[in-house]
Amino acid sequence: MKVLIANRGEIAVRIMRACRELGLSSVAVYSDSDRLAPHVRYADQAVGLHADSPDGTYLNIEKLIKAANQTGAEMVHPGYGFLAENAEFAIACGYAGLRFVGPPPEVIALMGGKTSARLAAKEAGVPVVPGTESSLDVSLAEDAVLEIAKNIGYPLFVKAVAGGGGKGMRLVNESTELIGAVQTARSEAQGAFGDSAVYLERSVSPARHIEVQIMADNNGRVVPFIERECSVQRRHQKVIEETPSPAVSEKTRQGLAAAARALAEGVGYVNAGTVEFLLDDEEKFYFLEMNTRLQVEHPITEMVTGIDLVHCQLRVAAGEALNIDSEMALKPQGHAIECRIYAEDPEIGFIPSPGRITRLVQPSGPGIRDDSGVDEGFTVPVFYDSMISKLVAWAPDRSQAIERMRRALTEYQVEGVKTTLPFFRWMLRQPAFLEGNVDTEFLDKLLADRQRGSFSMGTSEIDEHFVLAAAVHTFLTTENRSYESLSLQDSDIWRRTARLESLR
Amino acid sequence: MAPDRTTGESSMTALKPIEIEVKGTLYSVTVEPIPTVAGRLRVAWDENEYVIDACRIDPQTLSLVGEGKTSDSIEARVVDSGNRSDLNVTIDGVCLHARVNQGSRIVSGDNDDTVTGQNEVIAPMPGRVARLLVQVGDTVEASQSVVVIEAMKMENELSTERAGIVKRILTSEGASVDTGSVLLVVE
Repeated sequence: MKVLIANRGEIAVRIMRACRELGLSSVAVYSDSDRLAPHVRYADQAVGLHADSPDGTYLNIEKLIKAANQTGAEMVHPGYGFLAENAEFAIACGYAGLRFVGPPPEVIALMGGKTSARLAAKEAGVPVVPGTESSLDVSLAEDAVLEIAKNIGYPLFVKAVAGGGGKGMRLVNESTELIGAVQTARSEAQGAFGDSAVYLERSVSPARHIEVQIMADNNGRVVPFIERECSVQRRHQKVIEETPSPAVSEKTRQGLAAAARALAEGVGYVNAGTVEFLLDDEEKFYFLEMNTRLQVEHPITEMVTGIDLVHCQLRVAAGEALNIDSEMALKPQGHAIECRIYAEDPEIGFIPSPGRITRLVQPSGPGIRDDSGVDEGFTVPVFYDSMISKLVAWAPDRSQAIERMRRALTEYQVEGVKTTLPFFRWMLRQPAFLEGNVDTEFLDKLLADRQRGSFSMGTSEIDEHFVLAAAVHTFLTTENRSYESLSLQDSDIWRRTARLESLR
Repeated sequence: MAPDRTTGESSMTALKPIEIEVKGTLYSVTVEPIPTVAGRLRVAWDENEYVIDACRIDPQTLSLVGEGKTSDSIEARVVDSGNRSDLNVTIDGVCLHARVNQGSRIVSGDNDDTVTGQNEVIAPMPGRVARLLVQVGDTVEASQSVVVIEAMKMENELSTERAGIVKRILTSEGASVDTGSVLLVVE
């Protein structure tokens, strides 16, 4: 069996590793600037897409299907991002006689719409954030709108039905602000999406972002997994994920798992998916959305359950029944944390830092997993997401996992491009994080309140070491001495080897 | 045929302190080789004095091991930004900037502009020796290309820093070399 991986970077390598373990052969696709990328070299076969823009490459359905047909692939794994949640791509795969590794197209479409997904959750008995069932009727009188809002409760959001990226979204704290907010949200939504429809939804704040991984097979068996805590976010983008959540009790855990299972069963879900929830400070949870694909942060679930989610995905796509212990999926062994390492400069507002990686030393040792998509000498292209690796630490408990992650971060060296490594070294010392006391707005506030200055400044207790290194370096450079290790010198090694030989 | 590292020439040169600014503090540091023990440096400032076993792992990586009162093992990346007075020093993932003001060299005996002494040409990267451009006994100018290394499908010409006579050649055409290998010695 042959699998085409319609993606790039670390996730493509991750999927190919699973293919190799299962005895499946893998086909990579690549853009011009990814010719030397690890995913191309790791694959058994590779097909060039002869362009660089996402539209001309990893988003190009026609080229991807052609690549699959030309190589005789029978399955297509979309990874995450790009076409992973595109129902048309899933349909196109079906037409071409390819098995799409993911749910059926109609389920992708159903869960992709904001209001349809909310409705599906409600029908499955899953709590949703209180709000209007559908869009606000434009003909409604102001009094009627105010009455609806009163029933939902303040503070609330006016949100564009076609929304995304914070556009057409307004936070309303009290009734006097409501009518004006509805008007601005409508005109903003019209301008941004060509659709002025808006709905009302209560604002849950402060809230944690908690999500539940599920796996489902073609026989209707759904297995929910232990929750992931993804509240550490910068501008709504996840930065650190961990499992289990430090804030979820066993009772809530069972509730979350049951809700995720009910939703998946209700919509006829197949393959891997993730149900995202908001959790308030009273441990009440509300359905947020469902991601109909493998998540970036899936490795932490694998680390605490020992279950390989990509294996499961490929087996289910091949028609096999799920063969996992549902109790094991909900009982964590230890604790896992993931840091998303981006080629971005945290010192200047996390702007992307593409370029050639001139030096790369990856961490290793007990409990460390680095899912990387780059290697030394690779040029991080300007065209795609700048994530270069996901660093995961596992340990028997949370505090040891944090210490292990810190240790791994001291080992990690990247030169040539700026990375978020200095930010994580700083982040893993923040008291609120160490206490597990976080919500989705915590990091943005922390960064806003932070004193200016480098993330890597003032963190060493041993300044003398830096003075020593600078002094010795300057001395050796000026004196033009090399001072390699005396014992490592070629001639010495030969001499010593010869001496050892003569003693035999 | 090891390059001379008994550092016996220390009698010929004396160093003014190297001024180093780290995190706003100025350190006036003297570094001198210990004549009796190869590869050891005495590094001192204020009340601090260290005996350091210093090794270069590659042109930008130093391994320092203290001897005597401290046994600290330090691995440091030292990268300059084109000039030698601005250094970024990274130890265990922490990067600090060091501003260096080098004491001017006092060269005893020879006040000529030409700096003399021994000069090793070192491979800055792993690769293959594509061509040797000089032979033992040749006279070379400062900055003259002497050897071509092929790495990452690129040819890189390496040059001497100082003028002199090619004393030894420690590699041959076609040989594979590692970062830090001494290729030839000019005296």
